[in-house]
Amino acid sequence: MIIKSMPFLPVLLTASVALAVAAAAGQGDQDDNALHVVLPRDAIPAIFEPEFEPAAKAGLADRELVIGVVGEKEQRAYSTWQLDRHEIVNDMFEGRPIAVTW
Amino acid sequence: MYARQLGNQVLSFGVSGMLFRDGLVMYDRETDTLWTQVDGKAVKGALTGRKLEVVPSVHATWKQWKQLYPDSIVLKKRGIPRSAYEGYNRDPNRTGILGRQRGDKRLPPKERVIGVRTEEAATAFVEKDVRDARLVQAEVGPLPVVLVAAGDDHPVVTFNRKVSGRVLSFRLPQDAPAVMEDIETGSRWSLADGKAIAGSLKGAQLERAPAYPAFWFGWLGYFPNTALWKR
Repeated sequence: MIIKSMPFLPVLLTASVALAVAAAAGQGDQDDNALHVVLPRDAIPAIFEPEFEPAAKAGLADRELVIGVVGEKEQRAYSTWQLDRHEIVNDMFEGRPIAVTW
Repeated sequence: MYARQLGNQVLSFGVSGMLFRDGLVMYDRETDTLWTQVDGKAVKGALTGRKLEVVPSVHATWKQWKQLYPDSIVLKKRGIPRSAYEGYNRDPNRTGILGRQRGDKRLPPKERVIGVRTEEAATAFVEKDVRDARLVQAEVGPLPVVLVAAGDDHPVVTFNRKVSGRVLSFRLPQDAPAVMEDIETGSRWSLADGKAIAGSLKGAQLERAPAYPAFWFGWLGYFPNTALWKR
């Protein structure tokens, strides 16, 4: 989501990466426009071939937040709990290529 | 949510592992350009300066969503069905991984806001204020918007109030759920898809406005000059 991006990472990281994160945080004070490397590329795997199931069959919790897209004929939802682990879904929706980002 | 297309070029995005102001940085597999997710801008690489077009999205709890869209389809679950961020989301003292504190004291850093932005302007609406008011009308730069939560079981949805060159004003009727009524013509509009379902404007369509749920500190990182809507 906007800006909660990856705060949980320290939990998943090794000590060395955690140190890199701490260093990045220090740099942030000096340069607000810096890009901070906190993980290797693709360490969080984006989804490129999403699969779907009908809402009636989906086992989501009532309080689970979803991002949805509503088209002319179709509606699709993406669980943010799922997106926490993938951050990005590359999809096609009603003929249009979309990126669902979190 | 973005259209992952620039002209005829379709892009596919992966996670770069970088952060910019506590926001996700994506890369595209076609050109290796880096893109900031919050504002959809290319910040490094061949496509620097380009911008992705926003695809307006709905943000809701599952309960709210399935009520509005029972025939929808859902991204299939893989792995553990719980949030990785719940502890973080609840903790008022944890603000992103970089932990930068900003000088703006208008709201607590972890206040949940709905941010609406245009090319020219950005406005944050405190989500609980919108829910208390049920229906909020405002202008974000040149964009006249309405934010509506028809009830506790409904998500906050955001629409552009301009239809065919005319700006409408809305209220919530007492006698119908998930519907709003415009004051100018008395037409009724579905909150599920923004279509006029009754009245002289029947068949007309409201466009969704680009609205995002965010924490205040995060929104502020990208839009430091944001306006803050007050009741």
